[in-house]
Amino acid sequence: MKSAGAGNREEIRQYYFVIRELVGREIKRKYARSFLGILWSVLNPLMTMAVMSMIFTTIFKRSIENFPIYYLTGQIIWQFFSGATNAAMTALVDNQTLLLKVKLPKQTFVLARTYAALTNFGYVCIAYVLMLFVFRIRPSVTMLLFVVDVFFLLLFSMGIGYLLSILYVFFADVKYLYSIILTLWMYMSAIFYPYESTTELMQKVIGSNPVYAYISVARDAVLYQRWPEPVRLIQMAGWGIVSFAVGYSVFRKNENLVMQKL
Amino acid sequence: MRCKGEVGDMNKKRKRSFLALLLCIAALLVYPEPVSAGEATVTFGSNYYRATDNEEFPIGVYLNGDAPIGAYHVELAYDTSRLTYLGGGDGEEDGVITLEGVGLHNQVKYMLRFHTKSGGTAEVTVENAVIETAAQDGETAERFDVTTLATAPVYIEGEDIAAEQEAEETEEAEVPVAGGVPVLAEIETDGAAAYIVDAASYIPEETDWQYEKLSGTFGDTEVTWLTNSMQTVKFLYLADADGRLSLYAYSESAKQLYPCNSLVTNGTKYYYMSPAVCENWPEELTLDAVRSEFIVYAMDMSGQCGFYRLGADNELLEWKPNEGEQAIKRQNRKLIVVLGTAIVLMIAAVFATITADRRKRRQQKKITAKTQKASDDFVEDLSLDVTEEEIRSWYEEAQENYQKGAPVISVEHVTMRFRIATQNVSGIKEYLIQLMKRQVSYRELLALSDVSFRVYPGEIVGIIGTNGSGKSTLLKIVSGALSPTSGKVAVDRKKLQLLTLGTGFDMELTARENVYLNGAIIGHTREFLDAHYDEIVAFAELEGFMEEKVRNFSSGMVSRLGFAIATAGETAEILILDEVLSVGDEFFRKKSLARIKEMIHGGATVLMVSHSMQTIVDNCTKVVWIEKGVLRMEGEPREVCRAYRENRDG
Repeated sequence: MKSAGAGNREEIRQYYFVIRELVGREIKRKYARSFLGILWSVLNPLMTMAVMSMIFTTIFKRSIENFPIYYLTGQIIWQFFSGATNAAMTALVDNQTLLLKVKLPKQTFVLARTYAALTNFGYVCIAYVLMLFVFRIRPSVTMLLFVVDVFFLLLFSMGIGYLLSILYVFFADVKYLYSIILTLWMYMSAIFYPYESTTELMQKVIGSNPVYAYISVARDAVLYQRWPEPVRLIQMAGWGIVSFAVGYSVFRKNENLVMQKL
Repeated sequence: MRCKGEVGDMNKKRKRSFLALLLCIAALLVYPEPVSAGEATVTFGSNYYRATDNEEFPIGVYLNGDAPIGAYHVELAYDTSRLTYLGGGDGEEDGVITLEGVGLHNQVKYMLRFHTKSGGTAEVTVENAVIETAAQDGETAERFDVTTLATAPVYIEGEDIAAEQEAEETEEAEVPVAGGVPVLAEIETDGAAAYIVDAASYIPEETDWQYEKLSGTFGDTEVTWLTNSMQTVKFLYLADADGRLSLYAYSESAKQLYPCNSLVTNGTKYYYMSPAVCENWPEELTLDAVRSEFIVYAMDMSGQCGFYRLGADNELLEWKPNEGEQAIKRQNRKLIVVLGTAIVLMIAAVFATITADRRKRRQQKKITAKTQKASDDFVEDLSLDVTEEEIRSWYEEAQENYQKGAPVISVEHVTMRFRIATQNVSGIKEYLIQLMKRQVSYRELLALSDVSFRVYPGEIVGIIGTNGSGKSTLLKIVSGALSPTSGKVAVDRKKLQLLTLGTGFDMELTARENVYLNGAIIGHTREFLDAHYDEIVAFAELEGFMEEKVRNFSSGMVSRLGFAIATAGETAEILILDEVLSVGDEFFRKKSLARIKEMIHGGATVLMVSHSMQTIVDNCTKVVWIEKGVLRMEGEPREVCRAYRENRDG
């Protein structure tokens, strides 16, 4: 209950507490009926990586240096993006009773879903760091860039999440459509094949794919330990900021319309 | 013969060795005492140069002698079609730079400056060098034996304009047979006509490795092969119609020519070609490996051949047999270890959880048994808690206390309009279809129409009306969850608390987790929940069930927990109650009623919605009746309720 003199600071603290509780709920919920719970977040990427790497190195031989890390870097970034946007999409509809009765900012729920994906990503990173050790990737200063990359990826995912959550209220079909788009998008992100081996046209398509920019920067930062091309850095920051700005403003504009629809 | 092992012209090396031999013989014959003539070289600072088109770049030229150098005269030729000489030498004429002068020490340095004007490969060659020793102590100057006349290729990045011009020129000339190059026969490569260059009569200038001539046949044509010094690889030059030459290597078994390209790795020039050229492959070399590791067969200037890996930056890397296979095996071994560890961890975790779960269940049984007794006792205590009379007297007291001041909630001319699609369109496809048919029509639903009323401090206002009359919409607008279409609601939302039950309960979480989740959502802070946790559990009578998932609770238990969380702690100044007072079993209903009374008694202003007329009449000081979005009546509870009932029945 709010004390009479609740200041702005306290409001922010409370807001933070609510988001934390909601994030905790999402994560506990995700693995509510499984034995291993959160351990899945760590094991899942490891096992997919192991299986995929063995298959791909056997089929395509050594076309990519250090394929396991190459694949894992792309995979965890993609998983974060698709997980965050998918969860954010249904955030408003899933919480409609709460939305109608509680005087919380509407975006709280979208944010909570996205942060839950980020927390999950944090657990995945434990597995990732472990694998970096196993495959003898030396620590390097460029790895700091990975953090920056994830920050902008978060902004980008939030923006898309805002848009999708609004759209989903009006058109439930978006869910199915988006899953198809995601599949196509994944294959356009050069997660398990080298970007350079594609045709020129495909390189143009993949090169303008925002998710590929995040994957490419992450690979440069961690695997190749070099500065990414300036184009990718600009894409990384640009897509993040633009997506967030557009998503947020659309969300704010349609907030009330959504409440009426619900 | 001394070999400096550098890029050198074979022809010149031969000449040089021949000359050295002659000189020796001559020296032996002519002079009884051998005179040391000394040796000198003319070299470049680097074996090759890289430059980009339209750029200035320097080339260092070094005259090195065994003894101090005296007078010298050196001539260098350069590719005038790709380079412009800027200066640095002692003279230039028709693409020949002259270095002339008298030296002092063992070395004379020149720094020649060029400007590139076309892409492609330009060459700077020392054509001619006459170097004399410095005349010392009256001795006459002697000529150095010049052993090395260097050639340096300059790789210029950019469009090869010069070659195009050359091509044009030769085209214009229309030389019938391969641009003036003596050729043997016409064959076809990659769909274009090409001519086999007759190596017997013409050795192209660019032949810079140690070659041997060997006659043989290619197809039906008698040809002269150029081979490496070991005669293991056979080469042919093919010329196109313009006389442009390219080098091909011949595979005996495939009876096929493979193109040769050159590259420079670590300052050494190599010619590389398809591994098919080599007849005896090592056992480890498979077609698979060739393809996956980019293996090439390469020859250096002395004719030594071997297998190499072609690196990403167009360089030759050492190829170790089995390296690729082994790397994959190593990687797969690691992956299997990772997978194995993950699976073992998983199994271990499953076992751990199952045992922990079993232990927990055993403990839970004990606790449940205990609490069952405890709550039995508790219920007995409740029975003498509140009577209807008491409730009524509390209400009267509250009514007495209530004084008119500034309104706490003021609802002014609030109108709420919903746009509802007449057909329920919930998908894009349907939407598009309807849009095409122009059937997307909306119905305006007037949920609230110009509703105004005020609530003063201490008042307890009940809102009544049939279902769908706009009661809930009104509460949502007052609590701030909805914004009205028009009109205004003035209320201090910081002091306001909306009591709804079970909002934000998650069935998959435990009761304890739900206390924090639900508490956070309805606005309690973490500290507050920590402090009041025991109180909440006690009030909801859920001791011992808190670690249980809410999924397993009865609906009564859930509502009790919800009520306990919502009403914990100090009372807010403005309370909004949405169907709160019909919760749980009889005992709990009384208990919750008592709690509400307590809150009301504490001086809170209350706005409540209830379907129970009795609750309204018993508790409220004022009742607002809304029917179909319109405010029908506002006033004394009994009076309004009577009117409402008459309207409903009649």
